[in-house]
Amino acid sequence: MFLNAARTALGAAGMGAGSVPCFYKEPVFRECRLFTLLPLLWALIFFCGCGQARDPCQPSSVEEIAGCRVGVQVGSTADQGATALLDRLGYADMLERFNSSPDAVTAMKQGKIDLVIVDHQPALEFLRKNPDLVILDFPFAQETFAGAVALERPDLLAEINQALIRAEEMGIPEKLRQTFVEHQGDYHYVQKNQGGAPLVMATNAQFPPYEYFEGGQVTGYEVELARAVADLMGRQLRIEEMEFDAVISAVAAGKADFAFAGLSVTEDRQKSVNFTRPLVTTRISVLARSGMAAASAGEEAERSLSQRFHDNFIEQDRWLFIARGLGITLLVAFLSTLCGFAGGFVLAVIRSWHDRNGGLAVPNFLAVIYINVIRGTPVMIQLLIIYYLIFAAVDVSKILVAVAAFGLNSAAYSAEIIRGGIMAVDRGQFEAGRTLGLSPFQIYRHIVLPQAVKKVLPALGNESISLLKETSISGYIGLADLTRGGVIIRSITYEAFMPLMAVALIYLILIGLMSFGVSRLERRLRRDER
Amino acid sequence: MTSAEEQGKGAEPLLEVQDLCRRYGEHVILDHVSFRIMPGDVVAVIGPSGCGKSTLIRSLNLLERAESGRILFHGRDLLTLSSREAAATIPRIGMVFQQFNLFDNMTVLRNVALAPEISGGLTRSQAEEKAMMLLERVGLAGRAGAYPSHLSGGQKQRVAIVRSLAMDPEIILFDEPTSALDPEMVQEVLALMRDLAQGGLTMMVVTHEMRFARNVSTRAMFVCDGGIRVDEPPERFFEDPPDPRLREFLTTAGMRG
Ligand SMILES: Nc1ncnc2c1ncn2[C@@H]1O[C@H](COP(=O)(O)OP(=O)(O)OP(=O)(O)O)[C@@H](O)[C@H]1O
Ligand SMILES: [Mg+2]
Repeated sequence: MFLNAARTALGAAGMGAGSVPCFYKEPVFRECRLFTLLPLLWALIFFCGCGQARDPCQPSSVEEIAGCRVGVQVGSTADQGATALLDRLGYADMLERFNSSPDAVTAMKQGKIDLVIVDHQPALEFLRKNPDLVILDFPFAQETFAGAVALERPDLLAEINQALIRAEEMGIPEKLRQTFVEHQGDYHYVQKNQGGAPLVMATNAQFPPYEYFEGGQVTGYEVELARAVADLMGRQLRIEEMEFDAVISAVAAGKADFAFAGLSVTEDRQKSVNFTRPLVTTRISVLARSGMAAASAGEEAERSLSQRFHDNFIEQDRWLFIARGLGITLLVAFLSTLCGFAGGFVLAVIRSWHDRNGGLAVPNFLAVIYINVIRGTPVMIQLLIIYYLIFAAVDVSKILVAVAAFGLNSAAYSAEIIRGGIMAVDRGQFEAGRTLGLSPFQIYRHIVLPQAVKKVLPALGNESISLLKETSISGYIGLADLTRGGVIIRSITYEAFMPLMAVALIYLILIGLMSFGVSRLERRLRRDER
Repeated sequence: MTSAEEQGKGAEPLLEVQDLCRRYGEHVILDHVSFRIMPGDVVAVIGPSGCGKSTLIRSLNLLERAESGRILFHGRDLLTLSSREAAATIPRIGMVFQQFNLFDNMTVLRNVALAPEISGGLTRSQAEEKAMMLLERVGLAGRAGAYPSHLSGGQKQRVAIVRSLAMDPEIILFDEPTSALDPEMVQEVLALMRDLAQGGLTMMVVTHEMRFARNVSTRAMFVCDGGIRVDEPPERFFEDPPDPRLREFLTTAGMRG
């Protein structure tokens, strides 16, 4: 997932570093600090698709894949097959796992890997949009896709299977296959049922032609089949789009009723979910660059900026992914900042009260544990724990989950900041209050806290800036935030540069504005002191 | 014995300290200290640095916890009061600090009016009216809206004195009230303290201002080696010191007055 993306980026950075000679000269190391930026820049350029292709690697049988750099979508059947194969052949380290197969294809086009192993239909889709790719003649494996239902819900499984049988009797799957797989005719299944209890489907819309984004909507063969199934069950289909490796656990945890996500039936998965009747029978194929790779990569670069801008943002209103994502990012960051400050304030008062006045031993103990646990674990893990463990059985809005996770996280950090502010208030202020007969509570309320808050406002502003950046991992619980908006566009257009730069630019502007606000606040507070 | 008793102002001591002890680890600061303060007394406390003057004066309003002994205020021992009773009694003993300790987040007016309002039972407007009146008396009414950081040191200390006066204390403890001031501001603070003393306020003042001690106090104490070595009227204290250590101290202090 991220790890692999990071590894590829690091690899590129390494290449860049190699050509900065002063890196090896100890004495001038200090002066070379600035140059450390260079490899990063180069890594970026590599990531933008200017990388050079290595010798073509075109195996003619499954065994000959050994020695090629192979990319797969993490957790996919291709991943499992390739892992087993390369392990057996002793080339386990040549396998790179990507978040989605479009990511893998992008990496291949940039020359970071040689082959992408992926289901046949998506491979055909990639081929259609990328004429510089080829599908190798030999199949990697055969496979069957089916829907997934939680083990505890055999009734639902039976209902879905019945609906599937009726859909087959009505010829719906065949007609959808014509539309989506053969690209003949334009039969589409439009859901008729607008009422009824919602039926929640987990999917990952980066797997054309089975599930993908079009015009901002999730569509595809399995998606429309799911609409038909929901209709036949008298239910209203609700689609939850998320990372592929989150789909099965979402079903198993009861976050979704079922999943259609190009899931092939494997023994491992059968331990956590039940599978429906087969939805699709297909093969797994091997994608490679054709000899034209270099030329067409050049073409790609020559395409005008405005053309690329149009493809990434204007076409099918793709900018909406970013605009809507921005709204969600702002909302999550704002609400979790508020929660974080409020929680941090309470924790800080408990902690400092204990330190200054004694008492509150138990709340203080709990607060210390809380702060250490939160500060001692990655926020990403906290987010996943809150989504999959704490809110496992409850169906709450993902925005709420994200606000809870980031708010609870920020509370721990804010608490230490605010406590620092309280402890920085001079002892003499407490003593003067006491000699005037004020209670500790009154001293806190009227004297200490107003002074402490003023001291720490800039630091809290910086905390909210970090928080805004941290929300960029919201995609991991399937929240379509700003970062994920860019990722979705990238998965549609196979272009990394435009969407990632756009997203980075928006973050940069937001954070620039916030930093400006914080420094103005700092100046004003300092001026007040004179 | 004491000047107050001689003048017959009252037979009941305002404050009576018996066998007060305080140590920091092995270091004994107060070793069975006893004395009484009668209403109207102005007690100057003098002694070498680090001898425990602050510890002594801060024990009287419980900013420091004495280990043993009794502090009788109108006959009731402060050390045995519940915290609720202590909170009601403490504001009757005012305190002025070397570092002023004005509330930095409030205007001068709010500094003075806060305690009368939230613990003295006055309404906000009553408290501010009273604060205004007191500020006028010390010539600081014009700075009522200013924040402490905008005041000179002398102004700050006068506001601090007014702030403690606003609680109508029966005695005010001063811990080196002019030591943090620039020389040109010392006199304005001492003048105010002299006025208060002449107005009959009971005061206990830790100070290095010998002239003030000599001219204004009714008693002077010499604190040294864990106890009160000398407790005499200022004439005797300065002109005819009964203790060799005090004589030595007055000489090295360049006693001018
Ligand atoms: N918290 C503490 N821990 C240990 N020793 C302390 C502490 N506070 C004060 N002391 C010691 O107690 C002694 C008396 O201190 P105190 O502040 O009462 O002296 P002082 O007469 O007011 O001195 P100064 O003229 O410098 O204000 C000093 O020797 C000091 O080192
Ligand atoms: Mg002192």
